Amino acid sequence: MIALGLEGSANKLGIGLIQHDMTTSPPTVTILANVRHTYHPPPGEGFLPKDTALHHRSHILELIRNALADAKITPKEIDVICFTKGPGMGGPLTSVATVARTLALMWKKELVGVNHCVGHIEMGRQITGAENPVVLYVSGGNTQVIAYAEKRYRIFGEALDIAVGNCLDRFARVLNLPNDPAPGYNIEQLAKKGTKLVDLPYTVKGMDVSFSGVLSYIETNAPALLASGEYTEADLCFSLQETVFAMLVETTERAMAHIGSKEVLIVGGVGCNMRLQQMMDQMASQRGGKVFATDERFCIDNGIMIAQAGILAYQTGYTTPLEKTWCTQRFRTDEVFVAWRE
Amino acid sequence: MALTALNEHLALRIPFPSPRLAKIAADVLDVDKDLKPEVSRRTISTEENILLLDFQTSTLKLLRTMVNSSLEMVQLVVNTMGAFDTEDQEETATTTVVV
Repeated sequence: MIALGLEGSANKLGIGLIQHDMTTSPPTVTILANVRHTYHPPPGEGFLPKDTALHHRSHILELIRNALADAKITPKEIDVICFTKGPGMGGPLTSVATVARTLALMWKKELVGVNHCVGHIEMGRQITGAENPVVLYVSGGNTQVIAYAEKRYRIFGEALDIAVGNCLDRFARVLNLPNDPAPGYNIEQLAKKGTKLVDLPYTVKGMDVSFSGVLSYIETNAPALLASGEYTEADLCFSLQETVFAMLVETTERAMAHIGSKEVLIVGGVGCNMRLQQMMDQMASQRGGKVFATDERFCIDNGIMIAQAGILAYQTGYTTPLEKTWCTQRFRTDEVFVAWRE
Repeated sequence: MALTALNEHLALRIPFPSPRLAKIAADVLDVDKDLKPEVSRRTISTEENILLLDFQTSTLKLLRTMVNSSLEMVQLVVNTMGAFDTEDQEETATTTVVV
């Protein structure tokens, strides 16, 4: 069984092809293709929905062609077409869904609308082999601490305002760091040279976290701190990372204690930050546990994760009828019925 | 909310290579419903190989943005068909028998 996955909820456009060999139990999973094209706005700017949608429309057909060539398959061999239904930016989502629908009708395939967050979780589980982890989903648009219980991925804690990745990305704009390959990546590299810790607001409210205060503080004070010569840009990147990651480690640890799990799975674009993985690992090893993470191929938004989550749902008999293939900017992780897990 | 008069109107006729492709385009586009039907409405239908798009809006500005975004999506559908409708010939043959 082969699934085509199309993802374009933010500035990454990803196409993936995954194969599940159903003759073995559990099915043997093979990644046939995983290609991506990223929209990079100029330094100091974020990606706007209209420009991002145009980027996706301009590159999606070439990317699908590349994916089919990588996998060395023809459309006939595809069983199901999976696309991101939400959450994400409306214009980019709808552009990608429009192509998914057109292909499905031309090729006479079923469609499966996938929740982007569930895509991240299922890809992380597949790649790392984590059994029943607490999931930390951290990206430019989402920050959630998740655990599975009774057919749902339940949200234990989340960001009350902006996502952690958004906080990092927007600070990168203050420093005019390039958006290529990713603003957060450039912060991570700069932070390695930082030595002095600036005291920043630390906001954990129960299981939830807040990043808008720390962003406002550092945005407001960065010019003066840098002008004083006391702190460098590297020190500020270092301080911001240490502070926001500590907040994430704290809430993740509380979720682990609550459900009695010793595994942590980190997914989402911020999940490939090595410093976050390191801090999480320190916490987990103190509890006799383990951290599972993936590299940028699977952490950062991609098409293969949509194909993976979609094919799992499809195997349980789930499809999305054409008239319900509209996209939605708001689609919570716990809305999805996880029929494929015990 | 008071009903706004839908004074502005535009009808587009877009030809496709075959009735089958025109129908696919109509079905694909019709999934996305009007967000604010009280100020802008789009009706989609087909006539043989022609895709018919009918727009009604309260203001000229809305009409422009709506026609513009619809045409962007039509263009995307047409390009997708051009790139990937490899099975056109054999399918047209079977469709003709059914019709």
